[in-house]
Amino acid sequence: MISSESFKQVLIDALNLEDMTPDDIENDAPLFGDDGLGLDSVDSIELVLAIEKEYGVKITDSTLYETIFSSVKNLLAYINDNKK
Amino acid sequence: MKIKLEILSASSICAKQEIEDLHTKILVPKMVTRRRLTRAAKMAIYLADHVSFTQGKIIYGSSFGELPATANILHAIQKEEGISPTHFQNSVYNTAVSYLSMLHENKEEILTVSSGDNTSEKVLKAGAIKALEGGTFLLLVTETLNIDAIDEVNTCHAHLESGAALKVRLSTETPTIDIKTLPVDKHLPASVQLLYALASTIKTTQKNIIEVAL
Amino acid sequence: MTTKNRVYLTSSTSLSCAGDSNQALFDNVVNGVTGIAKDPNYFDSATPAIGKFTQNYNFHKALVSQCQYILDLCQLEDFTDTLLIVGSSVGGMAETEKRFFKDKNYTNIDPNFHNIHTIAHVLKSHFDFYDDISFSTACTSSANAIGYAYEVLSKGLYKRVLVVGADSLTHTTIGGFLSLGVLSSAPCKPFDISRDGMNVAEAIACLLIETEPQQNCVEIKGVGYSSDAYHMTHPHPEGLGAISAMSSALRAANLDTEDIDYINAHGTGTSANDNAEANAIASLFGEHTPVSSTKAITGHTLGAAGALEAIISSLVLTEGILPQNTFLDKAENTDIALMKKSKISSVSYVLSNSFAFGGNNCSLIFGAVK
Repeated sequence: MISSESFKQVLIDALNLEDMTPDDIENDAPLFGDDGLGLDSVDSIELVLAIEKEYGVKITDSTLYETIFSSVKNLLAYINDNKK
Repeated sequence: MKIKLEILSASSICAKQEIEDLHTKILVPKMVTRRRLTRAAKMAIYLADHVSFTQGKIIYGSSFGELPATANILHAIQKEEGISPTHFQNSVYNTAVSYLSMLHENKEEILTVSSGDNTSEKVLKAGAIKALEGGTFLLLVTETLNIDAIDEVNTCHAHLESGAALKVRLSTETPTIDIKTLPVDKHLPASVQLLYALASTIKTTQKNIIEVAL
Repeated sequence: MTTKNRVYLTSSTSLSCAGDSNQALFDNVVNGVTGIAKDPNYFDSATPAIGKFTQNYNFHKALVSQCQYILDLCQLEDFTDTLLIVGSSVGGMAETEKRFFKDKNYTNIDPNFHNIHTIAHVLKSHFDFYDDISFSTACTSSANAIGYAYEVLSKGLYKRVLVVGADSLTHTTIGGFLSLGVLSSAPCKPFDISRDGMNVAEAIACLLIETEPQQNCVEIKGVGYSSDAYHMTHPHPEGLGAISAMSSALRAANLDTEDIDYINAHGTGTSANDNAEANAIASLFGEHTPVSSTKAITGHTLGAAGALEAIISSLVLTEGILPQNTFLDKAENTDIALMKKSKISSVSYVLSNSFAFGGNNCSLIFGAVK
């Protein structure tokens, strides 16, 4: 099981979120759009790359993006469910 | 044909490896924007701020463009790893001035010159020609060569990061600086030498007028 | 500055996946014969459809021979009174890649054959030019080059200009666009509701631009530039930057939207570009003006696109045929006049769009010379 803290650090490193620490990222906050972290579509691709590199989990179906990427909690759940 | 330009303000920066403080946090407060900036983009933003330029045409030049982003992509391909889309979007030669235009919502014409060692001279010529249309605008050059193993190809440049900016407009007055005899710093990449020398030479106590021969 | 010469595109030549000559290019564009094909040779993980030259040309030799062809066509002795303006987004990157992938280090990479200046460097070793300048603004590189040529010649600053738009296929561009998820594995379908991406392609396009008309030439009437100031890879969704560039071009040409007989769109086949561009065209031109993208035939030739499509636009004027949107089945935007079939028509003015990463926009207007 990947911890929330270590996953948030992977997210911070992959997306170059300067000066952010895992404590700054809420589990339920949306990742995309101005309400959340303010990420964009390029970030979603970077995240997919990072998740494959770090955890070996491929996200190939882009129609799933909306649900998986809706929050850190949902994304981490997906990774933990699909990690070998 | 000769065209005269007045240099209203100028700025220059360089470092052997990496320029220390480009004031990026102050100049680009929004983190999600700031985190994507390349070194050249940060330098462009710093230099534009130092010459108090936000709106207007920009003529930008770089001989090697976004070398760090380019190198990242090459290594990713060679290692058969995924290419970062951020590095790809940041690898075009007009990256630095595109981020500058986004920061200031500057919707004017932006031209990027890349003419090797003569990039500074060509930026000046293009700038002189564009000046005929009127207005105040920015001439800018950067070179960011600070990548791992650059020494495998770099045999001459002592400064891996350098840049200069001139805010200019058309002039009809007598030149006060002679471009042809202006000494340049040969430790800088040839592509930035002339604009860097001009930026370093201007005086605040008098008008700075140059004549550009096409 | 009072000189205002009229500016003419008098001679041109091209190499692309759609043909080894202007005539082959235009025939294929009009008849819907694509040069795009799937290619598995660049990446194991994907088979994008790309546009390769019809033969395995040495790129540097092809550059030289295309420029020599211009000299032969217009019976110029040499280029000594000609300004060379290059537009390219990759320069010598293909050669760099070859050496780096083989050696896994930079030692054998020659800086003179890596960057954008490579193109001018190669040409200057064969021809004497009055002077040279190279632009690199991604996909507007050679459109900006033509715009600059128009400006300097209309002001009487140079006697003659040779614009060379040139981009070779590279792992960097194919892989980069793949990483952005915008490449199609079939010839693209610009403006179609089911479009799924663009095709990277290579091209060399050379244009001789002068202030005296010649037989079968077209006039460059004006150019408009703008910046979106919005996002590095996405245009403003309402096409505000595109509207600004097209409007500026119309003002420079002293024309109204009703005067334009045909728009050669940037139309790459990506979701983002075509949506924004269609919105921009609808906003300015409505359903009045026939529009097509020719990239289903030529692919997106990146830095060379502006120059290659200027050649297509000039042939629209001299041949009097409006090219179709090949592979268009169901248009996403029904507010613009997207032609499904090529049409013979009297054409006086053509507008050609190019839009690039970083929100760099350039629109050119060409006019018939009667």
